[in-house]
Amino acid sequence: MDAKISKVGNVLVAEIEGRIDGVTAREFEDAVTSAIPDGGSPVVCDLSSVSYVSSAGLRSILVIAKRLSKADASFSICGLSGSVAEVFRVSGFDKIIKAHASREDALADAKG
Amino acid sequence: MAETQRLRIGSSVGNLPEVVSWIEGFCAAHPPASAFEHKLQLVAEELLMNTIMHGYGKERSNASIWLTLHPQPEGVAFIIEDEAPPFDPLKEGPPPDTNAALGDRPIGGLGVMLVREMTDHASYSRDRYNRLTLVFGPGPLPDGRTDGKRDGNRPATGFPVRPRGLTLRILAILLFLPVAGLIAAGALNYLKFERILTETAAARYDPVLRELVRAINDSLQEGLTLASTKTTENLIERSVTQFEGAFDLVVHDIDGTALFSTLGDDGNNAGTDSASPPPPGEIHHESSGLDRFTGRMTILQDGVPVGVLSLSHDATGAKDALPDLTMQLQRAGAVAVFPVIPLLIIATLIIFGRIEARFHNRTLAIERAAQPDSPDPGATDPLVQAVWRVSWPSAAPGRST
Repeated sequence: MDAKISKVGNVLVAEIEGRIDGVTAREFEDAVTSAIPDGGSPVVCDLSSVSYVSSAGLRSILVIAKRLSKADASFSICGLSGSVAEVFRVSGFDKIIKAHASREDALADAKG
Repeated sequence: MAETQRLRIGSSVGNLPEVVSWIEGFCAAHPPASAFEHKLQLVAEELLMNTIMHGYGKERSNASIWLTLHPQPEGVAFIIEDEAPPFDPLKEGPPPDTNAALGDRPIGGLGVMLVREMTDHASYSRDRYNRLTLVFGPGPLPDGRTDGKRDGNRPATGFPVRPRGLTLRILAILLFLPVAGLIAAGALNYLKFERILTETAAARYDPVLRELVRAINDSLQEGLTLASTKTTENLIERSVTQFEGAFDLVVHDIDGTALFSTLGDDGNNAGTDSASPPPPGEIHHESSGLDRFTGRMTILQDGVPVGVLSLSHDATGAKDALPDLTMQLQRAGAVAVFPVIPLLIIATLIIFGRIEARFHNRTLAIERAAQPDSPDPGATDPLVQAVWRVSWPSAAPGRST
């Protein structure tokens, strides 16, 4: 798992690559939460290079989403594909996490 | 179709990468499984994490988890087993509400739901191990094993009776007892027989001996010596004639030299009598084998022992008087020995042969189970199962790819 954190305007973009599983989920969670400033900031997680997410990864996404929700900041994901999208759908996460097809859509939504 | 693959791993999250590459390898070798590879990886991780975090817990990080991948014609069956306390993750707790809003959604609890959703068939069984069987794709369960049922009626691995060294040694001991007993009983019977014969002979001939000795004693009171008296010889010859030669009489003097004998020309038979004379009035009995009995009584002259009269006879007459006892002796051998010994041999061979066969078959089963890549012994024997599980290919704890 690799996490590249960048800033586009006031939006934090986390570009994740690889697997978010029981071994790497904590790493992913720490990488994203440590980049969030105290006052909160809109976050877009780009998962287009993620090949695999298990319940441990979902749990980390939920932790990040709840934290941003408390700070009243927006959180969205983008680039879900294939089997990762299936996991989001089966677990019902597609109903509670805002998902966009592309990063551009997500950024436009986060800024707006 | 690819072979069944087995992997044993320690209960540590660090072993997850090893399992991931193991599943990848299996799917590459078994194309029908590759369509399910993502689901398989997901389910395997969820169940592994469950066992590592909750089944064994941190205290038991050295405990084993056994993973099996059974190729199916149109998919794959995955089995995960552990020795943690009984727990069926498929049953426990209601599935999380996937429609709940973000704020209401509890953290965690999703794994089991993913397992249910990603598999075509999921079942739990427990004997000594927690066993979860997950089937991906259609098709029958592999070998009736993935539903967790163990075939306790599998035929034994060898002939059920196998008498070897142990059985033969026990047989030798068991045979020694009746044989020794029979010999002892035979010896006791012989002694009893001899005593009865002696008593019978004594009852018949002792009065004759007493009568003769009294007659000789009376004749000696006239002052003659035992050696010269004609009366003694007459008395003896008359008695023998009277009883039609049923016995022989010998007179020895006090030094044991034979004076008179009815043993005829074969007079040497009388020999010398080296035994001391019995006390006056008593009769000493002797027997040589069970063939000849002799009664000896001291001759007195004026109250002083001067010689010994011996009355001897063969045992034929006495034995004829005891037909029942002889029959008993013969029957004891036939009735007691012959049926008992073959029964004893057969019973020992069967009983101990079975025990030995069980030992032998268990040893064989353990040896077979210890071979690498050996199939499931299907045995309910916990030792065989444990040995088999130790022989699984294992992933070193913490190794990553």
